[in-house]
Amino acid sequence: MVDEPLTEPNSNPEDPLDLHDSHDPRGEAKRLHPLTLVQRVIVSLPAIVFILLPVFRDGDSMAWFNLVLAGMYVVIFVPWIGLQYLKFRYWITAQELVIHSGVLTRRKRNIPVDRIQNIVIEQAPLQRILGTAKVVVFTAGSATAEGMLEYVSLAEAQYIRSVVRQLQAAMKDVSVMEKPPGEVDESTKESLSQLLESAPDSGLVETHPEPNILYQLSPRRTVLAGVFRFSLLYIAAFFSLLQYIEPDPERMFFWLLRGPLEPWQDVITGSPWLAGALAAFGAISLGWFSGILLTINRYHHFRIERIGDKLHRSHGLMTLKEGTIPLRRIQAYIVRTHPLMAHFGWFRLELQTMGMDLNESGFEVAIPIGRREDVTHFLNKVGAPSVPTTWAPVSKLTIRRFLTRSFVALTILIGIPAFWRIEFLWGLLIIPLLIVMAFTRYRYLGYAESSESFAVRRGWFRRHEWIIPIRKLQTASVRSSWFQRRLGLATVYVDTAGASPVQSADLIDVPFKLGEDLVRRVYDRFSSAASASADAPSSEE
Amino acid sequence: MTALDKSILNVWRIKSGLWAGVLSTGVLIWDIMNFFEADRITLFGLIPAAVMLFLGVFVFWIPALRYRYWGYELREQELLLVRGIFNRVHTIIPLRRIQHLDVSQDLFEREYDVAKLIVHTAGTKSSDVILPGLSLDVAETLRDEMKEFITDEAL
Repeated sequence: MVDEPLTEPNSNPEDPLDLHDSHDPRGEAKRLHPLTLVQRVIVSLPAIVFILLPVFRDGDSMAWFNLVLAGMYVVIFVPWIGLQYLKFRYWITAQELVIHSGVLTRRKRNIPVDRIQNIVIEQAPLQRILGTAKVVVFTAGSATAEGMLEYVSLAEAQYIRSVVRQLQAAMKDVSVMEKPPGEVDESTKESLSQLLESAPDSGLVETHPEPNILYQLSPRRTVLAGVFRFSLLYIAAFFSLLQYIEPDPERMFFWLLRGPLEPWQDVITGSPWLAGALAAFGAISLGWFSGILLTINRYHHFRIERIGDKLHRSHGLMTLKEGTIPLRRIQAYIVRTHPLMAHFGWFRLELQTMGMDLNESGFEVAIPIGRREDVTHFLNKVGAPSVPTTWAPVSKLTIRRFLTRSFVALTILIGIPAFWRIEFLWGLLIIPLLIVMAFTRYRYLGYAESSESFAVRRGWFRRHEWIIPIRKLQTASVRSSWFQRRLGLATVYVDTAGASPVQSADLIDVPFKLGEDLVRRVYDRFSSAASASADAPSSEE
Repeated sequence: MTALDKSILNVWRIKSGLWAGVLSTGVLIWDIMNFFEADRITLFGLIPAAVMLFLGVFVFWIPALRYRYWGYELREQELLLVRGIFNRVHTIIPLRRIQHLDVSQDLFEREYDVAKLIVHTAGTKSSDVILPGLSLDVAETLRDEMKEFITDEAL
């Protein structure tokens, strides 16, 4: 086999910037952790079981085909994993993280250190047993992972992260001297490589200021966060998986319990109402319980701290996750709750970020569950605008609009079918509920403005408070539908980067004139803040 | 507020006219196929004629309304847009928030020498704001004027 000329970091003559002259301090391109091989094979085992399933089950006439597939797996796939491992190299230079990979198609990826926004270290249960970790590198431009190292030892993962951070810090000092981007002079390069060489082999020497823990979840609160989270989704997934299991678990359940439970079973199957109620109760409690378990799994040992101008967050029971959120990437702060949580005084804080880990639909959870004081404390410590204490209401006409809309919907959904089946009229029982909803919705709608922020709150059940720092405004608009215009109302919307298109910070049904003035004021504040920061570029990017 | 170029009326009318044409042809074919049905409700051609008349009014009228409610204004630091017949929207786009600018022309617009200016911002709902119906010259001048303001400000 012809070896490609790129196994050594400094052997790339075409590199115009000659960025490769500084070695990884360890002197050579690194391979992934050898245990990667074991992990890859283990991860692929379910596939082989799936392939061989018909062979195990019964004398299937097509089973030979599966045997051939399994043979191909052993002959081709397993060596392939080995080849991939052999062809994978990575190293860090003073300017870049370089990853070379690919067996047939060679892929050389150079990720400039100063573009790296976030390095996530992830450890699933298997990796925790083996002491390895997955390193995922996110850059500013893309929402998906730019580079991935599966898997390296945990110490190596932490080493990579600390080196990247130190290089970034060093570059920041250098860039004060206003070099054109991409061009780095000799002395700078020198100092950066020195920095690399002085970096420790493993472990971390954080040159950052004292970590400042902003919030951490106690075990009690972790459970509580799960208690308030309820989703039938997992249950649906669970039962749809059960379909594929042989023998049928439902039948097995009844078979196992046929002795003592028989009379009960007869009662239940005898009454469809009782059966329905029991099924609903079962589904709800299962959904609730699984929600709690999943939340514990995700938020176990949740901790978010501020290190310099970044937030550092780690959490997880089975899968450990660690990541960084640069403060300046935060576009808006969202305080969420729902009536039940609000009743007990609990809130959830999310950070709307841009162009980073989009796993939580573009929103990073900063406080999974906490008191109002925790939210206020957090916002204070990151220099965010505070949560408004008083909210200005919108027009009362919004109640009328909501009820009109509901009654039109009721007429269509209940009135028309009622011509065929009079039982549909029972649906009218929700009218009182709608009226209550209309008023609660109105009470919770509101906005607040200050010199540094614009805040909107909204939602009847899923209550959101959006706190938008004024300088994060992207565009501002007032819109009014034909129905709104008849009542002299309008909707105000301040768009931010990374905002959700579904749950958006619309301020609904303010008087038209007020809406126009509001947008004007918000915009004026934005432009004076923005031009002020343009005069003093170092204050905030 | 500056109004759009009048030629955009023709472009809109041709485009909606094409849709209306497809729709009324469909209705016409349906009518012809039912020509020999015994229980015909109306005289032959009455329904297609009604549909065509109805659509014709729309094709003529809606673009005119759209045109009437469209307006833009380039100020020192922002672009103002006003639009919408049913949903009326006023938008302020700070020039420093522009990520990039496109001038685009489709087949019909090219015929009438108009273009649309597409303003991309990092916002979600306003990630691409379209300003249609500018004469090509105006669109390019606007683009060049606004281009100056694109900063490499990080988000």
